[in-house]
Amino acid sequence: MMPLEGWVKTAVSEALGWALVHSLWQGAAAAALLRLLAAGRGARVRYWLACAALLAIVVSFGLTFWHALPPDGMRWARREIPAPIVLPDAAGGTARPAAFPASEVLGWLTPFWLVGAVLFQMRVVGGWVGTRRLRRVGVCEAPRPWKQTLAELAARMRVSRPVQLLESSLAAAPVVIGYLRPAILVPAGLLAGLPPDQVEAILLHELAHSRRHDYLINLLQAVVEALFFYHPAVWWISGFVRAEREHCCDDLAVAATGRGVYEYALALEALERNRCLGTISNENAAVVAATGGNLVKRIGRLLYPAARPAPAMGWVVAPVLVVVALACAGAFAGFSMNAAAAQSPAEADPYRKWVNEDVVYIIEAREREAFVRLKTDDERKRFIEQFWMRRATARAAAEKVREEHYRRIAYCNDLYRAPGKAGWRTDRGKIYIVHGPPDEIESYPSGKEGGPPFERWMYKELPGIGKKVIVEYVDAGRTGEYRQTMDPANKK
Amino acid sequence: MAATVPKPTDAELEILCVLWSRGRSTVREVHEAITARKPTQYTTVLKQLQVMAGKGLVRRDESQRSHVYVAARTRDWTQRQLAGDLLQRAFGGSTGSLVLGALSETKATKRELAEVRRLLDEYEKGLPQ
Repeated sequence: MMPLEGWVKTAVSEALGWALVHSLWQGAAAAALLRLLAAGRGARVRYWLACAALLAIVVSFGLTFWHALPPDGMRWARREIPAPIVLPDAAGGTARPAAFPASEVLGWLTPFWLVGAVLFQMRVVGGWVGTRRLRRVGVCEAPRPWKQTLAELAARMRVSRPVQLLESSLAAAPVVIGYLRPAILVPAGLLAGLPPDQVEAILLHELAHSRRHDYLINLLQAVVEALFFYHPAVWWISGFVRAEREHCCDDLAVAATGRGVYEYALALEALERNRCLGTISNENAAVVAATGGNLVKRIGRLLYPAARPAPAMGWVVAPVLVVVALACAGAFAGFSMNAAAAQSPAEADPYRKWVNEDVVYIIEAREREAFVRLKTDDERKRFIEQFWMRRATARAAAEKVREEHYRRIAYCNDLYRAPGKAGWRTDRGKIYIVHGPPDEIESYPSGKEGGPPFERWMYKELPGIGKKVIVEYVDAGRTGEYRQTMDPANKK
Repeated sequence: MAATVPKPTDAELEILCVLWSRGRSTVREVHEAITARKPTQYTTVLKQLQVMAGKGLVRRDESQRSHVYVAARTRDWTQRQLAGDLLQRAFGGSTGSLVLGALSETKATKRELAEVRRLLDEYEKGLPQ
């Protein structure tokens, strides 16, 4: 079996798949809730609400994953038990289709997600390396008077860490880089090129970022974005956080300049004009629509705080609601599938129990398919007879084979029962039922040298696998459930 | 020399940074600014400036007694030239979202700037003079 397929069929992979599917509606719900709660609030409240929404998505993803993990282990073991099937009514009514094997499909989601998440994380790392480079390459210390000014402004902004002031050949606009040793980079020549009070206003904005630990939070935010790269609601909330972060810093900077919002807005405008020198004519009309007028919104908010209009996000709500509805429907379908699967197999239908439990380890896929298609109990009865006949050997008649099989199940249920799990479902049970009693058993119920209890089974020969096959089980959790540590198929 | 100015190296960018920041400077002034961040030999800086003058990155003003240098190109021009550098561009995209600044990552457009101007003018008219 391919390694990928082996991984896809583990319980961990399936649990991740569930977490991914559920994150769709969880994220959409968080976004919808955020929009509802944040309407008409101040920048600070909106910012923290949005951060909380992002955190909630991460936490609920983790909880979903944890919840979907089988609590009793077998996490990395391949799930060999096929999804249970639902048989058509004996009355011959319309056959319900065999249950959708949700678990298998979900398992296949995770490789795609992993690849995407790794690529996006690499982008974050690349960006981080880029910021280090930006801080190191082509920079020089700002002239001394400006460094003194910055120290005064930092005191006014109550920034506790010393902040370095560098001029940069590469930065196109003033930026803050670094958390523990923050540096403000301004484009070389800007300090001398703008009126001093405007430069001060810009520096105060950058210092506000430093005071609010924005650099660190933004880095974490980038990591979250990369994990949920597939999720439009996460990107939307993340954009929300970024916008409100700037608003918060604008407010802090305006308060610290002690002048008016008008002067501050002028400084922002001058800064943007300075950056756009020369390049502005290259922009085409398509770009105009795409960028969405971030600066216009910011300055509008600063100048007319009372008029805070309902943010123009109506176009976001509709898709969000659609996603919510779709995802909820999907989740519901998923749950009902689970419910169908969870319906105790011990209930009335003996044929279902036969295929899903009794012979689940030994029935071949082709046989299973054929069995599912049968319509009447008579056909099934005949199928089962033939099933055992096919397994008859020269030495054992069909009836003997059948008896031996049920003896093994009974034996396992007797001896290998684990908390919350029938003996036949355990790893030892599965090996025993498929391969029969081992030729030798070494048992260490109290472990060895302080280790957990374990058992080692030796088969002299397993047809199709090899000679001298050793299977090892460890009761790592000391719960009474021994789990297989190596696959006999891998052991030559 | 117009189109054939080579791309500056990292060390040259540092010197250009000083010249853009301080305007025309003597070798001593450039050396002082560079040394504030990392101690460097005076002669190293001098040599570097001479090489850069040869490449056309800086110009020497010989009317003064001590050598005075000035950047041959503006920072904007050089930045645009560097943006052609693939590596720079690759870093640029993802670095933009990791640094924090007073301006957003994407540059404002002509129409946005006009809109901002209109807002400011309107506000100013409403201000009590």
